[in-house]
Amino acid sequence: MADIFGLLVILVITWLIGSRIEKNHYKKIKEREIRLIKKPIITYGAKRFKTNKPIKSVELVTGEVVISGDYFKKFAADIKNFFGGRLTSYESVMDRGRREAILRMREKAGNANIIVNTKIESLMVNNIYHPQSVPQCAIIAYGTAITYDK
Amino acid sequence: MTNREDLQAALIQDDNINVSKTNEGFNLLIFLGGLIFVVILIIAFFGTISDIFISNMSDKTQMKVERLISFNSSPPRPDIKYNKNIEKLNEIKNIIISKDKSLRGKSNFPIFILEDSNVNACIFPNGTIYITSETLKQRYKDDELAFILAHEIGHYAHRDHLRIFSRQILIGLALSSLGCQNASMANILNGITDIESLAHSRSQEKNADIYASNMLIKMYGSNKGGKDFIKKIQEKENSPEFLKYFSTHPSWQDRLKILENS
Repeated sequence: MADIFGLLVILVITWLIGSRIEKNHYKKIKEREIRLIKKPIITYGAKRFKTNKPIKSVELVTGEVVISGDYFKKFAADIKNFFGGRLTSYESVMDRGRREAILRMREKAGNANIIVNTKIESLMVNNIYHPQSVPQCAIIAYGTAITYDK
Repeated sequence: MTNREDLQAALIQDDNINVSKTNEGFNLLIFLGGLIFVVILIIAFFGTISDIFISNMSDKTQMKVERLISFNSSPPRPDIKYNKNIEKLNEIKNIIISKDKSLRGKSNFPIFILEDSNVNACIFPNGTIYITSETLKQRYKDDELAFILAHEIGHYAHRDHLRIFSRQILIGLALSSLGCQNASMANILNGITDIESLAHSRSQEKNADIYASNMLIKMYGSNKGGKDFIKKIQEKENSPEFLKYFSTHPSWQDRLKILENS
């Protein structure tokens, strides 16, 4: 009986704290996205890049993030998993992770004019043999940053 | 910024198509409600099967199962100082057995005393009754002791132990397939089964009280002994009423009402 009350308390606490963290993260992501809106421009999947402009430098840029859902999200997803359907509680986690990785990559690119052939990859880094562990996802964004010679 | 950049900035701040606009807390409540409904159906179904199975079990099978699940319960060595008490309790017990035909040919209901500072009694699946030393120290009247004994024998008469075992096995097996899905499901299932088993236990205690009340009426013409016993306990224990929902027994107030209404 005490277990169920303990569970409820944990759920409420993780929901409140998790929501707060997520809200703050989204706020920062949006601020940075607006700041970086001018450059560098990103292209996805264009393996051949053609330009008439003189190129100063070409380098690999990466942005990595490891992000985790809170206990509440995991619990909600676990319960929904029984009935099936979209696991909406993880959507915001994946979205934050992807946007954060891209932002880090763009920030790392610095004064580059364009990042071509951007790829995004993800992998689970939590212990899959420990079913109680909250899913943790590593997201890596990488691409080729090109800087024009002025 | 150019117009295009203004538009892009506005888009960033606007709705995010990758994230569903759902209230996760509300969603969770709905799915939890669905899960609880499914679990309640499973418990009701297998609980009913278990009850039918135990109710239709022959006396011979009952005795076999009782012996099987009680073979490890060795009673304590009787203390000579309680001989007189045990003698008196045995007299009352024999009257109870003689009043209930369904108990004949089954257990002898041997009585043992346990050194304990709480007023309490219990019965094992094979019919062995344990009464705490504190119960004897309280010098309860014969009809009050009869209520205690009849209540415990009532559990035996209703095959309550067997019902609990049977329910736990059947419901446990049925729910284990759901619980092994993930840890969160297991937590929820444990919580629901805990609450359900407490409710089931309270219902068994209520029926044992009714049995004891009817027995007192047969023995003494009224169930006053039961009411007096509960009132005495009630004076000592003043626990909040809401705690009854977390207890294996109904509250003393509810038990008194049961006796008054039966």
